[in-house]
Amino acid sequence: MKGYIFQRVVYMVITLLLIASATFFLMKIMPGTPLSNAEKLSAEQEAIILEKYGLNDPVPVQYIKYMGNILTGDLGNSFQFDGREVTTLILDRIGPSAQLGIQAIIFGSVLGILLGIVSAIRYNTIWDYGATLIAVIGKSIPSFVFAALLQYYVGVKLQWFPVAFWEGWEYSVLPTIALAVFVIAISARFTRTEMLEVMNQDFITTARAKGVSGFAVVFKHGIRNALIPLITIMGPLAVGLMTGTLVIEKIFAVPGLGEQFVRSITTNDYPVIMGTTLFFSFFLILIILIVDILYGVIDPRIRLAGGKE
Amino acid sequence: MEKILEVKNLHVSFDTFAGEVQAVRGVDIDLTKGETLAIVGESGSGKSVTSKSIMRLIPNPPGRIKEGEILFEGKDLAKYSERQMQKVRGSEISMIFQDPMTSLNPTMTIGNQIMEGLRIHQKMSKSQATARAIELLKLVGIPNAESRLKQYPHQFSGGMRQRVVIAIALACNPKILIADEPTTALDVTIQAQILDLMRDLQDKTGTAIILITHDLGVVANAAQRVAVMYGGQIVETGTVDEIFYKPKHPYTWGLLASMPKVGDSGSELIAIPGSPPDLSDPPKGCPFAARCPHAMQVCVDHMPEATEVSGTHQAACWLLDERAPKVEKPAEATVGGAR
Repeated sequence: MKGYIFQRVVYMVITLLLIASATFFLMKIMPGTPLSNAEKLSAEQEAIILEKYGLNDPVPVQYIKYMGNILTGDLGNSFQFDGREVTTLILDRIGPSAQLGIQAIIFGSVLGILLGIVSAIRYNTIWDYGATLIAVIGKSIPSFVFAALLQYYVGVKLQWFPVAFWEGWEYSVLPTIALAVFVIAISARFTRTEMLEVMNQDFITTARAKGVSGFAVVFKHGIRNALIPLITIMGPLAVGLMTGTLVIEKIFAVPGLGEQFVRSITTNDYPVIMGTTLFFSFFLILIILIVDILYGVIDPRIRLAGGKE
Repeated sequence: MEKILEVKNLHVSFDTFAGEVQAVRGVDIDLTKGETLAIVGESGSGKSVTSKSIMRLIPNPPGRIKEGEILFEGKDLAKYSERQMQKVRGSEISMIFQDPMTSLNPTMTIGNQIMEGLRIHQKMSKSQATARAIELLKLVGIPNAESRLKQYPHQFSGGMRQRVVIAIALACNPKILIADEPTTALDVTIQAQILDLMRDLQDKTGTAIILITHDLGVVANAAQRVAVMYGGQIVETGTVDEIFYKPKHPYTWGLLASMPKVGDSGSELIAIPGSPPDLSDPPKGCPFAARCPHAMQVCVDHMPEATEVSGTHQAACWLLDERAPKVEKPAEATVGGAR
């Protein structure tokens, strides 16, 4: 197991270096310079600034410098945000995004899995149709529509939760729900499909033939065998949500990472683009590793080589 | 002889989009303490549905027991609630299934799967249940029981898994064990081992066994009595000797004739021509009439009553009527080779 994780970590580092290189060159192909949106500068001033930031060097030289820096953990300074360090920028912004993401994933998947189970064991009844309807609505209506509806009805009309901004836990409730709708829909659909399949398997009949109650059959024998595909999709989904979602952050005025990432792209803020991309990638690869380890925890057949046999 | 199970006039139907499929149409079975009854028949004859109905494991919907009684020690299981049935399943009546590769939960240790029933029915503590599970694994012939207990099904071979399935079924000393094609998915050497094991365990525990199979070889080895099913009905019942040596029903003749014979490697296998009746629109007469070489008009029009051949032997066939022409069992319908 330790050997396996070590091996995976080595691959992670290689993957990250490849992503960094690819992003670097792609970014250089993008039109414009970091200065194109700035106040009018004379050609001379521009030249000085470009020189100062090393942007006049040939691209391969810039590349080698940059890669050298990230290997020492230095992601550089932002061009736009008062020259602050990219690392601090990300760390400042990740908090709200991650909190929203984690809350949405937990709330969404618990509710979604329950909904999926209900529709699987009450297959082709009004319960099933109801749950499927919720899932279809959740999946087909975009989250910003829900966000707006929540803001208007729950925030403005009922005044249960604040409409926007980020000043305490209650401010996270509406954006969490808006994000969770999609998670509910996806996990309900997957759980339903998987549970329907699992509940028709022979070992479920064996369990029932042992005299196990219907509830225990579902929760002890069913769910665990239905979880694998669910975890496969939930991992990357979790990364997407935790690293910030532009639309929801914008609507609820949450100072998160997603909003900032988009701004850095439109302003050619190279170090921030690179830093955030690397951060996203790192997170995604990490989650994939965790998901792979979870597979083994859930299903002993996938338990990794080197474990105790 | 004390009857432990009496199934009377059992009708089981499945409601499908194409209409009602009458999978079991008036089956009578009785089972005496400690005996082995084999139910034989081809795929779709209703043997599995009958056995699952006894356990009330037919998924409802679409399946339902339309009519009939399932008397277990005099109590009608057909009228039991799901909760009452849960107390019977696994403790009074157990079941083992065809495919040991799929009938064990892949994410649960063997030990936990054996102990589950013990903890539910006998309210055993964890350590008591562990001790009993080890004892059971030894009983079904699995070496290193203590360490095997912590393993998962994928670490067992097919034959070993079937032993585990048997251990699970026998955990609470059930009075009836229903074995639904327990050896079909195993290779031949393992089949013999599993059948020996079942017979051995029956001697030790006195459990009555209902053995569902389509393999007459298995029947000869393991059962005392046989019920031949066709088209959702039992067409002939009798002792193993009666069915093998003095069969009366043309379908049983066909079954026996289609068995490969030892030392007869040159000849072709004999098949019964035609296919089983469509049970969503069952024939009003004998279900076998369409394939029967001796069918008469009456066979198509009226279902024959079960006729007593001897005290233990019954067959439902118009040929046994005194007005019917005399038809002798064809020469191929014999038990092949050494028995």
